[in-house]
Amino acid sequence: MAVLCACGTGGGNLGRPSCFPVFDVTKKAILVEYYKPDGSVNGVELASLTGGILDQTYLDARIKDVNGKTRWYPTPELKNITDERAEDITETFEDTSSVFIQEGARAFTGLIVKGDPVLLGNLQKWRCLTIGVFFIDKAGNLIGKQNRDGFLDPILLQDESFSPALIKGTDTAKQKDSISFIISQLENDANLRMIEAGEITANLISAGGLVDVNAGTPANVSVTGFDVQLNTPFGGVTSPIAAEGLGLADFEVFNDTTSAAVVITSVTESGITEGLYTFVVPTQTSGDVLIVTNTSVSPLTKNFDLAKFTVTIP
Amino acid sequence: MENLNLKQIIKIGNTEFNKNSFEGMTKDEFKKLYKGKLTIDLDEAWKQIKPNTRIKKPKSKKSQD
Repeated sequence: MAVLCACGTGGGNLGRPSCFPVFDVTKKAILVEYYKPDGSVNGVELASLTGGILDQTYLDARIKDVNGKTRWYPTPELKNITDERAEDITETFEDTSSVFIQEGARAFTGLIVKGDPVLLGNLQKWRCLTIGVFFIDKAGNLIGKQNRDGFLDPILLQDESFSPALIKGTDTAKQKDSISFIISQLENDANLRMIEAGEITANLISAGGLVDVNAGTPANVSVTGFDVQLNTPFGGVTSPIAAEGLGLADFEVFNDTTSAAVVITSVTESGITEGLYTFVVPTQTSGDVLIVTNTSVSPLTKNFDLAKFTVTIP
Repeated sequence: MENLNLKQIIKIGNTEFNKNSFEGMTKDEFKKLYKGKLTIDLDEAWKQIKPNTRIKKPKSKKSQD
């Protein structure tokens, strides 16, 4: 960010209140798509906070937003954070004096302990997006930037700078995922602001992101229902971790053939096979294709994000 | 898509039922639909899902005479 010269007003005052908060070390990052689908910045509208407090209802609405483009994606806890600006860029003259040209780039790195290839794959999906980031510090403050009234906005990352990697374990070190990125040159550290932890009643510091859920091939399909195994992509290839605890309100079924919503009659979670669900629906027509998705009602009630799957009625 | 509210959902064992889905369904139809699909007792489940199945006969009005 170019440094503005206050030629007409003199320098900025350098006094400070006797007591004021400062940022603590970063413990988590919240990745967001910087722009919402309507083109506005995907920030926190301060007027939307009930009583000025960032409460659990607000946090759930952001993390469990059914719209992935406006959702918040908190990382697991980050270790060994570095968040530093490179040396200023200067022009040096023959007399060895120099003048300031611009600030160096601010680079961020952090480690996710027990990061694995599945999480790495999901991090890699961010590479080609226009990314914004909020930081959560050790004190529980939510850090963003404020350069428009009434909003705490995410900090813009430099395009194509987001880089995750897998660091395999060693005899003396745990497996990790690393993330690194560069803050956009359009950003100015002087605009960094926070919602203080004292104004946050939500459990921000321990907030986790949604977990992907994938469906297996539906079985026992009839005109009135089907069975389906729902697993997360985590775990071994022969021992995936099942998605447990989902219920009727977590799903929607749509008949793609007739373009009509199907009201689910019941959902049964197997008491024997973890993640095996039996759906019963009103009688469908042979050959119809049903699409099963997350509920469209935001926020999601569970921490799962189901990838839609189809069922063809026999 | 229909938005389910919690009052519409009744949980019996591991199954969550949409109570509205059973309007007009008979006990026999229910038992046929869920035969082999539930580990819970179907008669007991039906009692909870459809507790008011008896149709009250309209009382005959007594003559005012």
